[in-house]
Amino acid sequence: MNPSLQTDAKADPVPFEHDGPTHSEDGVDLTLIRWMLSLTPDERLDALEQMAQSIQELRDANPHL
Amino acid sequence: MPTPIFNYRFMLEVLAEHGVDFIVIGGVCAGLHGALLHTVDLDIVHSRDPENLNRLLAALQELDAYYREAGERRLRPTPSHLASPGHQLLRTSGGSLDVLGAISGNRGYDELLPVTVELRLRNDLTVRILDLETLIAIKEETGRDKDKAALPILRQALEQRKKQD
Repeated sequence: MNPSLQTDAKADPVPFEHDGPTHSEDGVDLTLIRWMLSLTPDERLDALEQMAQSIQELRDANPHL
Repeated sequence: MPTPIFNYRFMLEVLAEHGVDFIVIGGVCAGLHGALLHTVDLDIVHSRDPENLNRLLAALQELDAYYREAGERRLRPTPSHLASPGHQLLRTSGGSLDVLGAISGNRGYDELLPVTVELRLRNDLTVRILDLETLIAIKEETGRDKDKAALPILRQALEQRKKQD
């Protein structure tokens, strides 16, 4: 089994729960916004850095694209 | 071309350690408000007060800042560059840093200061960012395609935040 696909009962719980709509009428992913708003400003800054880094790693891994 | 680095926190820390007066705008500002836009640089508007320019220059020297579009030459920002309302697009040891003397409507640090909020981050790092309502208004004014694309996300972030308040 690919370790990255492994499920782990001890994994961190889902950080928040919400019953609202998942998308706005103009297609914005509201779950992502609610997740960001559930974080502290520090955690949001970390998320921004990690997102930029992840996209760069994907680009680096696929220089032909 | 060097591999991009995205250490926004490090850049903010160095600016703060040097006592630079600045306001975070752009994608990092949006993200700190909860609107996740794809951003690869830190945008700031700095005070063009002469003493602040000295502090900013010292911070940029520590960050090893140079113009990222200057080809092989490592052209460094000067006090006269930083005193202008223009945009200095720099590469630093912490990543890309856009240092803006003024933004649309010729609004500089002093004009924007009343529409900012202060955020306290860990290690006693405090940063001042544009408030979300103003960020939206500025993107509406500029009307650039990339700004228009960001607007629905920014507006929804504002809407969701109001629901939480």
